[in-house]
Order: sequence, then structure tokens, then C-alpha cells
Amino acid sequence: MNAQPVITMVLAILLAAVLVAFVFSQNETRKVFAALQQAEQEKTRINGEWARLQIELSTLVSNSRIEHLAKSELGMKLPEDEQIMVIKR
Amino acid sequence: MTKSGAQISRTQLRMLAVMAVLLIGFMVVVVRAFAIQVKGKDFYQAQGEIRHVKEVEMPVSRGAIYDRNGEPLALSTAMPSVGIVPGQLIDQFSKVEQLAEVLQLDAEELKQIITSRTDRQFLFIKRRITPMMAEAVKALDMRGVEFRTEYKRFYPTGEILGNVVGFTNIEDQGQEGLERTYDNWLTGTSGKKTVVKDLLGHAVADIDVDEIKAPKPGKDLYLSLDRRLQYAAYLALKKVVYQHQAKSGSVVVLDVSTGEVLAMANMPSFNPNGSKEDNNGWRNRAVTDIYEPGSVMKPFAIVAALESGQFTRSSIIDTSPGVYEVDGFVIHDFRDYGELSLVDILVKSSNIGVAKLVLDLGQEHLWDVYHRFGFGQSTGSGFIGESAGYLPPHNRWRTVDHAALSRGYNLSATTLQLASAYAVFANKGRYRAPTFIKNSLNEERAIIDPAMAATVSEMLSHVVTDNAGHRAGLSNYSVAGKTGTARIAEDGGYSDNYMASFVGFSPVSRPRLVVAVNINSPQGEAYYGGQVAAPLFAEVMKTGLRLLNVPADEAPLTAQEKTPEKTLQSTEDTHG
Repeated sequence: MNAQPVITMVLAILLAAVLVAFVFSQNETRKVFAALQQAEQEKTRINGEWARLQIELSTLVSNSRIEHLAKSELGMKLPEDEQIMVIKR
Repeated sequence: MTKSGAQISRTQLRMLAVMAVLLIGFMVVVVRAFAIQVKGKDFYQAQGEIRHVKEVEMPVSRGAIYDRNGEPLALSTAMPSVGIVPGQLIDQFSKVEQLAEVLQLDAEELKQIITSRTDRQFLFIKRRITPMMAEAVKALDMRGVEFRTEYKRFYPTGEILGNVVGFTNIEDQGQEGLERTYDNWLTGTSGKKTVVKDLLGHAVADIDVDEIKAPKPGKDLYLSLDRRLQYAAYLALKKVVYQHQAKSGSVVVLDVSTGEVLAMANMPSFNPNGSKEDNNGWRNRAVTDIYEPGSVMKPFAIVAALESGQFTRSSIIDTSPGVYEVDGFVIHDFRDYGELSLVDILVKSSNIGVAKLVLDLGQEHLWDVYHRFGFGQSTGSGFIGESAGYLPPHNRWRTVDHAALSRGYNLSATTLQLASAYAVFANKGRYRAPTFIKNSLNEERAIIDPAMAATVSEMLSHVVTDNAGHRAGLSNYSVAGKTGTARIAEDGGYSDNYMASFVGFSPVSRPRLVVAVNINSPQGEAYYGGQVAAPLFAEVMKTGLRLLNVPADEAPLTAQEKTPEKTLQSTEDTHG
């Protein structure tokens, strides 16, 4: 029996398998890449939100606002010189 | 045979003809293929890549600026910017009108731009729009409209630090202030990568991994400034400037031992978040503006006198009768003070006293003392646009100039220079250039004897304690300092406007803070340093000591010591 047709057949099947695998991996790469892109966009978005939150926070804790709230809502004030007592050790 | 031979040759001929035609046809194909594959390869490949391979920029943000406690002073946030590919919009003008409406642009103008710039690949039409506006644009679903991420700078402290921190332009480059001074540090470099895009413009793969330029975000900057103290200093300054309808004013607060600038406020100021049409408030006057300091220079003249060895702190100088002529120029005191010790010369701020002291010394020595304290040279703070002031070379002084220099005229300085020079007395005779950056200290160098520094500090504390009701005095803390009230030179002569100033430090036993204050051209009755600048000094110093938890070193002021307004008129240093 001649071995050649068998080898040819095997090679042909192998070739087909490799091609399918290649296409499969290409597709996987693209899918993963698309996910990466999405993740990066998400990162940019979150960074942006972080910066916005920082700005919001710094507006909320701005000295003038705190001072106003302390004075008007909590009735706080800076002590007069006479009200300060220094304790020496 | 011949016939058949001729037959064959005819057939052969036909064959040859057909083959020749085929061959020529084949040759044409080969040549064409060669032209495309080999000669035109670059062109076609490039054309193909233009359609699918795109270089994508990876934008990076500019570094943030924080104060010494990590409170943000300048932040960048990502904002979408809208751009167009004019060539793709030329046939959808109905949608262009909608786009213009959403972006609040003029539709006709936009169409005009599109038709005239069809060759452009990308063109910004509106930069840094709100996320809501961006959503509205996306909803139009137009071909040829693209978004790019850009960064917008926000300054949470607004006008409080406007002219110190500065601002950036639309390209995110530092334009003024520390934003410009440290532009290289703050600026990042955007990265680049090449990607393959599909027909819808989504990136499907990275290519040329090696050629990717990694994005480098800008580095953050931590300043030496303290936001709380800055806020207090700015508000106090603003109040005083309005109260006296002054042209401008500055406050500088330095940490004595490190030279760190803890607060630096200027009026007028501006809000870097708003429109920047009026540039009057842009200058950081404490660093860029120079003026003749007046009497606040007297302690340095006293240093020259003490260093000469001819005088001690209690040497007596006769200042009567309150007028003194030098080369035809008459120097006045506020009144005839009679015989004064060196301490009292400072306490009364006697012009005649310092003039007599320094005229006995060489000109070079006085110049040398001023020079050592940093006058006439940039402080080395590195702030962009910093002024060096002016100290004339001693070989050009006439006797009149010599006397004028002793009371702070004929030379000019910045408020920051004065603060740094006074810090020497507070810092055991060592000069340290001021810095705006946290934990980035400049080299210290000894410029006067530590004993000398202690003596002058003690003398300066008398300025406040010996003038009853001095407005620079504090409860619980000892204060050393000096007022100045200098006429402002204008148009070749001296005007009726004054520069009121006070520079001092506290607590004297273990100095922590130097505060320098100057108010330019206060209008109205009060214009003396002791009336205008000293109260501002006291308020800023008091807040500073409280915020830094500095232990008190003195008994509280008694009610008598606090008597304000009335005794003020007879307080001599206030006229200094």
C-alpha cells in the first residue's frame, strides 16, 4: 500500500485545522482587544469622575463655605483675646 | 508536401500570432502587476493603511497642584472636544444645522468653514464642552463628527491664589504664575499608538507594538502654601485694601527656619476660572513689584552700625533739634527726640538717628550689609517674573544718597525680599532663599553673627512693646518688627501717595513666622504703616500662629496695652 495519499490526507486535514485555529485566534484577539479598549475608556471616564469629585469636594470644604456654616448654622466664632487662657506646664 | 508544408506553416503562423497576442496580453498584465506590486507598492500600501490604520493619540492630563496639606489648588478634568472631518459633512448640511444648534454655533459660519476647508482631516469646532452637550451631539449620529479628550483646568481657590498659582491657556500650557514657572514639571507628554480600524471606525487591533509612544502624565506639584492661612491672609488683605481704598497690597508669610512661603496674597487679584480680560490682577505683586521700602530698612542700617564696633545697642546719638542738614538736603524727624539710644532710634524710627549712624561708617560697609541681606538680587525663589529690586553700587553714592539709603530710600525691593531679609534676624543670622515647593529647601548661609541677630531681634521687639498700643502687638505672643511709611516716587519726584508697610516675626523667643505686609497708596486720613499695615500684620500673624499651634511665650496684653485709636496718634513708630 502506498503511504503517500495517507500523508497527503493527514497534511490536508492538519492544514485545515491550522487555518481554523488561526481564524479562531484572530477573532479572539479582536474580542480581547475590544474589551481592552472598553476598559481603557472606562478608566478615562473614572479618572474624569475622580477629578470632578475632587473639585466638588474642594468646593464643599472651601474655607469661605465652612466659615459661613460655622458662623451661621452652628453659631461658632473665634475666641476674643480675653477668652484665651494659656496654660503653662 | 509543399502544400501541406505551407499548410503547416500557415497553422504555425496562426499559432504564433495567437501566442504573440497572448504573450503581449500576458506581458501587459505582468508589467501592470509589476508596476502595482513593486513600483507602486508604497503608494498603495499607504493608501490602504490610511483607510484602516490610524495613529491614535493618547491624551494625558496635566499634573495637579496641591497645597502643603494635599488640598487641591489646580486640577485637570477630562472634557470632550468636538471636531469635524469637513469632507464627510459636505453632503449632509441639514444635519450640520442641527449640530450647530446643539453646540450653539452659527450654522452659516459652520457651513462656510466646512466648504472652505474640505482638505482638512480634522478640525476642532467646539472645545471642552459639557458631558450633556456631548451626549446631544452623539445622539445626532453623524458621520464625520469626532470627539477628542481634552483637559480643562479648575482652580478651587479662585481669586485667593489667582496671581500666585497662575493659569494655563487653551493648549494647557502654563501662562502665568507657578503654572508657568513649573510648566515642564506639570506637563505630560501624550502617547501615540497605531491601530487598525474597521469600517465603523472602531479600533480592532494594535499594530507596531514597538513603536507605541507611551503616554507620560504630568507630575503633581505640592506647594509650600497652606490653603487655610492663605485664605485668612487674602481676606484680611482684601478688607484692608478696600477699607483704605488703596491701589494695591501684598502679604507674605514665610516659615522662619525653612524659608517656605506659607501664604502670599495680593490685591487686586482675579479669578483664574473666569474670563481673563482684565489683566490688572495677574501680577504676583509680592514678587514682581518693587518699591522704596522706607523705614523698614532701618534695622539693616543698625546692623551696619553695630558691626562697625563703634556702637552698641545703648550708644547715645543726639538727634536734636529734629532737623539735620546733609549737603544742603534737610532730614526731618517727626519731632525733636533729643538724645536717643540705638534701640530708641528704631522705636521712634528716627531718620536723623540712622543718618548720623551710617554717615560715620564707610559707604561700602552699608552697601555690603544690604547686599548680604539679599537686596538688589533676586531671592532665588525661582518664581517666573521675579524682580531683583535695585541697590545702587556704593561708589556712585553721594553723601545725600548715603543718608537716604539708611532710611530705605534710593533703593527698591519686593515684599518677598523684605520678608526673607527679616527672616535672617529670626533665623539666628542665617539667610535661606524662599521656596514655593514643599520640602524643597534652599541652602542656608550665615550672613550675620548669631549674637547680632539676637540683639537686633530684641531691639525690634522694643518697637512693639515700647510704643504703647502698637497695632502690631499680639496677645500671648511677643512680636518684633518695624513699620515703614515711604513716599512713592512718581514722575521724577515724590508724590503725596505712601507705601505703608510692616515686616516682623513672632514669637521673639523662638520665631516661627515672618510676615511682611505692604499697602500701596492708602487714601484718606490714615496712611502710616503703623495705622494701615500693622493691624493687618497682627491679624495675619495671629491666624498663622493659631493654625500652626505655636505655643504662646508671653502674658496676655493688659487692657491698658491694648488701648487703640487714641494713643495711636502719639505712637512714634507709627509715623516711621
